[in-house]
Amino acid sequence: MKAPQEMGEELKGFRRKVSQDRVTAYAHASDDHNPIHLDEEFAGTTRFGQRIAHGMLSLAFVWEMMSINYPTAWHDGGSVKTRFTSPVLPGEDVSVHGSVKRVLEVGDRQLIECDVAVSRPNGEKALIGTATIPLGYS
Amino acid sequence: MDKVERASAMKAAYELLGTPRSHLRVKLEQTEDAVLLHYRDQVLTGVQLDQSGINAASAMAVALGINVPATGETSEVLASTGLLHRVLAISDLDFGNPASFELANVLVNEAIDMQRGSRVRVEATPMDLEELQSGQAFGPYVIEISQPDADAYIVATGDSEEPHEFAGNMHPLQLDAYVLSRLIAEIGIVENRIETVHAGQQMTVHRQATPGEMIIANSKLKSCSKRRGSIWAIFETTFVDEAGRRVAESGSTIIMMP
Repeated sequence: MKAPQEMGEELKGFRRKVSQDRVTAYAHASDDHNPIHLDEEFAGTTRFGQRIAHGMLSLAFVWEMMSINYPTAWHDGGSVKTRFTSPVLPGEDVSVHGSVKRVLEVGDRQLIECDVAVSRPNGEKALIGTATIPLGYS
Repeated sequence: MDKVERASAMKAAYELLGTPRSHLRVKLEQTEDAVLLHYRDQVLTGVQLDQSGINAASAMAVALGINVPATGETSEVLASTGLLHRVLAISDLDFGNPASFELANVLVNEAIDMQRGSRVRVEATPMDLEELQSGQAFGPYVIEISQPDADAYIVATGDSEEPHEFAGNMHPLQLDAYVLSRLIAEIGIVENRIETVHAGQQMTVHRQATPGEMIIANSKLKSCSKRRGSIWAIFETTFVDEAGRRVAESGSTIIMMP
C-alpha cells in the first residue's frame, strides 16, 4: 500500500468495537484501574453517569491507523498531539479516520501532517488531533 | 559525617520513615568531604568520602535512580519510604568488608524493583493533591514490560486475539500508559476515587522498544493550575533506554475534580 502523501488524501481507517470487556482488558494491560472505567457505581456518580473507555484506548486506535498507513516512518519519529473531546462509552462502535492535512518541507526532510480523529456512532468526535510523520529525505 | 553522627541521623530518619509514603522529596548533596541525604532540613544519613564511603555513595545514588552530584551540588528525587529504607541500609555498610558488596547489590536491586513501573505496587499513602506543584519531578520509573504483557496490550487495543500488529515490538503507547498509571496512583486518584478526565495526550516516538527492554521514564509536572474547583495538570515524560538514548517523549493533560 502506498503511503498517503497528497493533501486531502484519506488515510486507511477502520471501525472498532469498544466493549466493556475491551475496556477491562485495557485496564489490566495498561495497569490503569481508574474506577471511572471499571466501577459502575462510582462512574454513575461522575459527570458522565456511567463507565467510560480510556482516552488512551482511542489514541491506541489512532496509533494503529498511523502504523498501517506509514508502517516504517511512523515508528521512526512519528508524533501525535490529541485532545479527548468526548468520552467513548462501552458498547460503542467507533470509526478511526484521518486525512493528509499538509505536506511540509523542513530542511531536506519532508513531513506529512495529518488530521486524525475517532468518531462515535452519533458522529461526535471522541478524539481529534494531528499526527506528524517524518517521511524521509526529499 | 562519622559513624556516631550517622547513627544519630539514621535514628531520626527511621522515625520519619515509620509512616509509609509514596513520595518524599529527598536531596543527595556532595560536600567537600561527604555525601549527605536530606529530607527538608533533616539529614537522613551520610557517608564520608573515603574509599568505603565513595562506594556507598555510588550505590545510594543508583538505588535512588540518580547520579552522585558534583561537589557543592545537589540532586533531588522523589522516593518512597520503602526505597529510602534500602538507601539508609546501604549508607551504613562498611565496604572495607567484601561481603558488603553482595549485600549492597541485593539492596540496590530491591530499590530498582521499587522504582519499577510494571507490576510492582507501592503500598503507600498517596500524596495530597495540595502537594502538587509546577516543576515537581516524578519517577524515575524503571519499566520492563514482558512479552506476555506487551501482547496483552496489543490484543486489548487490536481487532484480533493474535497480537500480530507491532510484531516483536511493544506498542509504544504502553510505555506511556504505564507511567500514567503510576502517576495517577501516586497522586491518589484511584485510592481516593477522584473524578478525573484525561483531556489530552501528546507522544513522539524515536524508536520502538522491545519487550523485556529496560526503559527509564522521568516525569515532570509542567504546570498545575486550579480552575473553578478543578485541578489541571500537565505532565511531561521522557523515556530513555539503559544507555540514556531517547526512546520517546510524551505530554499528558489531566483534569482532576476533587
